[in-house]
Amino acid sequence: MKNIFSPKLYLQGLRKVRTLGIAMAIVMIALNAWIPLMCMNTSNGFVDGEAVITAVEAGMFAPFGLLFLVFAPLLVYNMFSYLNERKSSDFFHALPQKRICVYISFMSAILTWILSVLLLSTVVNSVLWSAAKYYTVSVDVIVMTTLGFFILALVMAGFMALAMTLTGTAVANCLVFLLFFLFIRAFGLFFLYGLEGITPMFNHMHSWLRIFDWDFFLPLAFLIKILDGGSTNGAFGNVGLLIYWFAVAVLLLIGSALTYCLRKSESATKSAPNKIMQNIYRIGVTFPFMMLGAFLFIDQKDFYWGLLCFVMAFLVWVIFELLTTKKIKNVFRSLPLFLIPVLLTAVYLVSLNGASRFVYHTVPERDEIAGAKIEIIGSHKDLSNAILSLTETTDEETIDRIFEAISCTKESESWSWNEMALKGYIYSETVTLRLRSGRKITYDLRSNFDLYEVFRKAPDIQEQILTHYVDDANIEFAYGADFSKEYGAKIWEAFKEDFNALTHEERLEYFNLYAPYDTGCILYASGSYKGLSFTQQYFLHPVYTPKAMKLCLEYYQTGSAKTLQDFCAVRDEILQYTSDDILFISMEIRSYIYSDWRSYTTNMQVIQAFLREVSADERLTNYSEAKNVYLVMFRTQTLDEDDEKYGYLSSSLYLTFSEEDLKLYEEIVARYKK
Amino acid sequence: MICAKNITMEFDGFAALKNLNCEIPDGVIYGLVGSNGAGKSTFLRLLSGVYKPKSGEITVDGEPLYENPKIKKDILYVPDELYFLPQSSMRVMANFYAAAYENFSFERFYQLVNTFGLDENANINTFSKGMKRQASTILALSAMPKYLFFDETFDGLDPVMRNLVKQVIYNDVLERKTTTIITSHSLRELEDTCDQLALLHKGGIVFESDIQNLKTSLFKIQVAFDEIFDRSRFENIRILDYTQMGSVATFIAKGNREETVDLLRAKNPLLLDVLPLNLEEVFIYEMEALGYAFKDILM
Repeated sequence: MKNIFSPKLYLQGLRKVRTLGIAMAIVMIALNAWIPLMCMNTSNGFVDGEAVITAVEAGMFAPFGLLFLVFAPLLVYNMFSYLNERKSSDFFHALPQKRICVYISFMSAILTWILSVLLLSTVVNSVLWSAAKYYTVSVDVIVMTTLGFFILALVMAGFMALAMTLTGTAVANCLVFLLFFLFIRAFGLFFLYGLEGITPMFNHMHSWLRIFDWDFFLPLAFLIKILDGGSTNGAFGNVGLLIYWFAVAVLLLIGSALTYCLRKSESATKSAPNKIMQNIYRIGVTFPFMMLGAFLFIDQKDFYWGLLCFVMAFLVWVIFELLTTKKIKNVFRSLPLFLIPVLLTAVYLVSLNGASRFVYHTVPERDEIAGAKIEIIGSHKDLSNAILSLTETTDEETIDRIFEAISCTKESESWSWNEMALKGYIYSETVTLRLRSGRKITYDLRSNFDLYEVFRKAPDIQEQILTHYVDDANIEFAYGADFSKEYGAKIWEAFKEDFNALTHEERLEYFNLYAPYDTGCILYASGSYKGLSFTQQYFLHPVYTPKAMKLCLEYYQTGSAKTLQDFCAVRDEILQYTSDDILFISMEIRSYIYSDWRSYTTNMQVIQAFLREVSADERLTNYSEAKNVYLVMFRTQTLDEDDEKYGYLSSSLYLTFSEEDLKLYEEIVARYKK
Repeated sequence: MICAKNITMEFDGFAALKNLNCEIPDGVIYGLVGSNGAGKSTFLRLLSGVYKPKSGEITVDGEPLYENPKIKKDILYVPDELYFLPQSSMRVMANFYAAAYENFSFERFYQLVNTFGLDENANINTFSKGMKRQASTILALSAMPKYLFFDETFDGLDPVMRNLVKQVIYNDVLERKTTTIITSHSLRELEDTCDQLALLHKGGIVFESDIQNLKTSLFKIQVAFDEIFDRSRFENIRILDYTQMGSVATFIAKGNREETVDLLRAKNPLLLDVLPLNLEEVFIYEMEALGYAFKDILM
């Protein structure tokens, strides 16, 4: 133990970076206190019973991001900056302790600072959130978030330690740090998205290549989620991901310990310990630009931007050498080696092509597919989508159609977007197949039929949807655009009664109505299905959900009683108009139930005749049956007496017409058409 | 004893030391002289465990030195370019040394601070060059090492301070049998201080000797005879350099002084004078005997 850790050196290490550590503590604690205090201040105006309780998410601990992105690498730099100067490097290498002991003692001091500030900030943050009236804090979120940030701080510290032990100047420290931090990720991303670019069918969701995706790059994924406004809990909610990054951190710290022990004191003031490393660094910072250029060529077919990237790669090559060695002759000497990243880019392109061929050659046969699930992209889901995204279909006919989509996708592999549009291949969905071997593959499929509808109408999925369609276990509350909370609940009960009274076939009929006509009567319900939040629209229908529909229309009609008087006033005014009075007049009548019934006219005679004959006081009735409800809208534009101002008049009302009323209206229209 | 065997050290292909062999016994003050770039600092860094030789081995009392805490805890190296922790005072540095060197003595530290008249709480950045050297020497001595290496330490010290530092080093050597190695490019600097001297040239030790032995074994003789004579008259004396003007011959002889004088007296000279040589003159003649032009080495 004595040979690998020195308590006295550890204490000296704590002291060595204490200025930065104290500054870090002040900034972190202040920021972590500020956010909950700010939210508490905002919620001062909330009223009990109306304010929604907000669950604190990882994003509200955002200042911790500063910890791992800024402070952790800075602490490491501050501690090990002696490696960049000969006299300080000699001093520390002359210490009697073994190098591993010096490294571990100093690194332990850094980690102590990070952990202390993190824990202190977490305590401050959690206490304040707990005191906030309209916020709840989950212990899970606190624990996972704190752990996640600590792991990320370890990772960043590891990257910086590795960079510093392999370089000997501040500039090289930073460049190589960025190289390590971004290069592997950049390489993986370019490979991943390059493959998806040339292989439209490929989706990395169940591929091992997924680890290169931004979602798995925790340091930046977290920030992107915050800027995106998305849920940040997912960033630290994935235990597997945290374990992966912890393993990365451990490897980095072990690696940097090894390089520290192997490091020669005379490497100080040199950008790299030897020429080979210098070449590796230079290739490492240049290659991503070339990969980007190649990616733009093959994915975006963008020649000019691709070429620009290659030019930038060359500039980066030159600038890197100048910045690190400060000698122009080194730049010229290094130029022949520029061929290496060019060759590596060629390897990248060849391997992309090979991977693409592999994807197409390993598409499963029809009899290998046991089940399939559609992936619903996006966070806004209704109940159907929620169930769809979590339910696999094993219906053979559905799978046949899916396989047909696979064939369509393979067929259209080399087509341009125009070609696909012309041939009707306008539908695309992401589908995960479960093979009989147990393996899962995800594909982005294109087809000339709506694959989403195929899934939605798969018998096993439909059964699942219908089973949970009005399940109170999934619903948190029901509401309507204009309804009060109580009336919404009343309509919901009526809807459930209507729906449960339907036969299975009737339910399917209702469910499979394409774009259920907008009757204006919509009930909304929010809930969650197996942890997936959803908001569902329930379209009320006069045939399938008569009771709910009646309640809805009664609500609107009741609400528009006053409007009936207004309508009569408008009607009476319009009846006074002559053609000299108005610049424009229109009337539109729409069926409330049947969306294909609509009448529109600007004929003043028709309109006035309608108002006299169909909308006479004695003919206006309140709602009686849903089928006969119509929306009548007027718009007029007039000049006032001085011909200076325009007047606008509009009115709309739900009216109930009988069959006779409709016939009369048609007669009027025919009369004045002549 | 420090033992260096076949030490080779290279930097980017340049051989700073080539097959260097050296043995430094305990309790001596060992002087290492050489021109700029001869390899003195490199050798000291190797002896301090800062560098690892490309080939060869350095042992202390039979144990390998590199990455050996047991040995390194007794070695203190004061380099030509000094380093102190940023914004630190002597007391802060003393705390750091105490953390690193288990034998560090605060009692000795404060004693030396008083002796040299430095303020242990002042920021070392405010010290002059000479004061920084004093500070560095104090810290090194306070660590109570068995082996002390000074790399051109006396540069920048005024004569009074230089003597004071030398005195303190002597005391350490006498009381604690500390083995001290001092490098310099000035022979005069080392003449009064060291027991043993080595000359480093182009990465190797070309000459090494006990100083007392060196000074007494070489001497200048001036002799005259009333008859004609030449060098052959002195064939039984080991002569390094011989000049004759008329009847007066002047030569540098190596060997036992009394015996040589007796031999010459027996030849009934008209004139016989024995003149002392300074260390530089000794070196010049010794090196010339080895085939080196001394002025090319140390100029």
